[in-house]
Amino acid sequence: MQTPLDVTIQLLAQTLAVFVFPGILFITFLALLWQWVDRKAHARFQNRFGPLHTGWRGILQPLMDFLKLLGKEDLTPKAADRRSFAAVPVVMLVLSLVSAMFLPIVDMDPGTSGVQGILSFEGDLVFLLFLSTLMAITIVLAGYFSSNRYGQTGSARTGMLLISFEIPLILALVTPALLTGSLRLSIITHELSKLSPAYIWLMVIPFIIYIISLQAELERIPFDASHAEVEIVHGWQVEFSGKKLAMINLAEDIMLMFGAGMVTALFLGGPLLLEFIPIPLFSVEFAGFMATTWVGWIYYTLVFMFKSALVIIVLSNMRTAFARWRIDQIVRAAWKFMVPLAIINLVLVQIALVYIFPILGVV
Amino acid sequence: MTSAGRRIVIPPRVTIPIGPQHPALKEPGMFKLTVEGEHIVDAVVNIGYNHRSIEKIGENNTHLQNLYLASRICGICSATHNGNYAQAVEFAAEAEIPERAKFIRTLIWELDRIHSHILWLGVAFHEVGFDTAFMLSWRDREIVMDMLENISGNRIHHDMSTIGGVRRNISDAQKEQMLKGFDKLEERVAFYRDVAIHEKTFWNRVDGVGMLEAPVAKKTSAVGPTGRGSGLKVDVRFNDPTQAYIPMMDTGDFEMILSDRGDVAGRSVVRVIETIEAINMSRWLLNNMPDGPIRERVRPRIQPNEVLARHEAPRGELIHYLVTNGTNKPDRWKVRAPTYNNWTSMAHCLRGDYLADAPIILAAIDPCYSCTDRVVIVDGADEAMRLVSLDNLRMESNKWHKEHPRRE
Repeated sequence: MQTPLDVTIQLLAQTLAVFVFPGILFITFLALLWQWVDRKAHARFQNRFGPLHTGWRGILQPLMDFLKLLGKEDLTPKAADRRSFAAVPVVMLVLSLVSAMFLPIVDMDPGTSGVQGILSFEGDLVFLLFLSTLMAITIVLAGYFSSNRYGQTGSARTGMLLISFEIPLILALVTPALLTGSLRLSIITHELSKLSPAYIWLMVIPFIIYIISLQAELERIPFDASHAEVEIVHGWQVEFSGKKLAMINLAEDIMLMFGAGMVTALFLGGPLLLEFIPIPLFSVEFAGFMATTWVGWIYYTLVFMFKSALVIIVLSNMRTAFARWRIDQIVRAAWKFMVPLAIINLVLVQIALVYIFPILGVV
Repeated sequence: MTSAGRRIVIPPRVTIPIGPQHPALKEPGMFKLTVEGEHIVDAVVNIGYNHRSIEKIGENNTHLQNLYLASRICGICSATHNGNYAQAVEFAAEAEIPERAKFIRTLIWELDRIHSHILWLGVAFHEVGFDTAFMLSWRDREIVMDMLENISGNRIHHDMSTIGGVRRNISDAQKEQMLKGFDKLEERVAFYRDVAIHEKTFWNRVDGVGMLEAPVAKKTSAVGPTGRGSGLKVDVRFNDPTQAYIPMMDTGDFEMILSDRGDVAGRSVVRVIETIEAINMSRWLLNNMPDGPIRERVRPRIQPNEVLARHEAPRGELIHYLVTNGTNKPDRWKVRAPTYNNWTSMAHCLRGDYLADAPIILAAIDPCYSCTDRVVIVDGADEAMRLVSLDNLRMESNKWHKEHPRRE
């Protein structure tokens, strides 16, 4: 029997989870931190210093940029559709925040097996893909609402880019779902950590496809034709300024954090690290201790952050090593190489699961 | 909104302005591109946002003052304008300058070429979004900037040439330092050459882009690396050598760098290999530099004369036309910068390419608008092009304003 006090405490705890940890505040903190990591790594790869002055080695620079943009003049072009133009940054921010809440950072529901995010239900992987497509549509609309020629060219390019890379992205996510027989993010992470190490080989190609498609989804070099600053002056973002631009930048950072988090959850074992050592002390006792006590909250968070940071550095390295592709080259690469590779990979996974693994005796 | 007279074209034709202020342009210029989707179907080129009336100012200055004014025509190839003006005045005065001065002047020109070409390479990398190579190549450009600062005292505006010779001598210690620097520079430039040729993402962006066929290049009188990238043998250093280029070409060790590709890739390769050639030339100049004075006195009043001084600037052939009248001031001074020859072909290069290629095509001629400022009207429909003098322009504008009176 629940007393009103219990209900109040539960509500308070849930509110705290949504708004502070691991909710909106923590997600924003991580997004800004990853932006710093990305900028710093990118700069160091280019033999520059990157942010240096605000905070320790410029660690507060992303926050400063955000706050400064909030205070800047907010302009709306005369020809723009005012309401839709104002709605775009809010929609983008909300979509990205909601997507990030699905990440299994700490265990919000100890009753169920596996590490649950704030939001978690059966089939949430499909819902996440739906959200990311909504995000793409919002971006395309953002360019058209601004009624700027650069913006329209940029959003046309964004549309082509995202249509091309959504498909390999989705096909890459099918493999972990196939291996675990679930569409729930937390279950996939949990089940994958219990599989035998032979399954790692099946995850290599999807991992590569996912990383490349992720770079394209985030519109970073070499896939940043949609806001190439020397051609179309930041494409669909060109008319946004002040608070709207701040929100869009934050939304992009959160999408970066969400993308890295998805790689961590689906391919790198989620917030588990020491549990993979095949000694009972670690795989049973340590795991049980972490799953049941409050220490797990700190441990899982740190491991999750560590793995995400590695992914971010891989992504910034990709950003450093290439020139920007033309949109026709991107589309051609996607349809001639990435999509066939993703389909072939699916076939290979099926063949391995049905024929090869039983012969080899892998469980 | 389905009125009968309205025709809908798919994809719609949109005019996208690049300039006058645009991140792709380092100086103001105007390029109106009409695009269908991503394809450029039409390009209208217009420059003339940076007119500074330097030739008129020059007519009121003495020749010695004009030397410093000339080097301010352009920030990147300042030594070429400065040296070429000095050369023009010497031709007019029929004065012979010491051998060592010739060598030092030529050395400065070659160093200028090295730094200009590396700068261009960085800009080209930046225009296709390859910022890493941009940062690294500009870092290594500092080697040659330090050399120039070491021997002339300035990084950008060297002002080394003066009428009758050069201002500063080069000591043995400086020579040793420079030779050491050249080794490092050559290694780095060879690395960037390999990056430009073998890095797939860069090469795919320049391969077959902005085609300028040799006949068109000849018709539009392309000069410098733009012409040589299309296979035209235009290089004043080889065709009409002056200063220390004469003994240098007599050795026969140096070759004109040509490419018959005709696209942006050809121009890039010509520029990068030319940088290595320029390093070798500088090394030759340092090693064979004769001893002697560095300056010959020339009387400030120059006899009446009419001369044309040619010089191969980093961007192409630079002409200074000078009329002297017996005083210490020029009667008429005319500068024809290489960009003026090159950008006429730009509309041809742009047409038919992708919008994304526009920045690299614009950058591929290494434009320097501040050197060049005339009014040219390019008719996009039939590729016609006509020069408009200031008087005609004024007449036309008066006419326009009469026809379009200001609304109250």
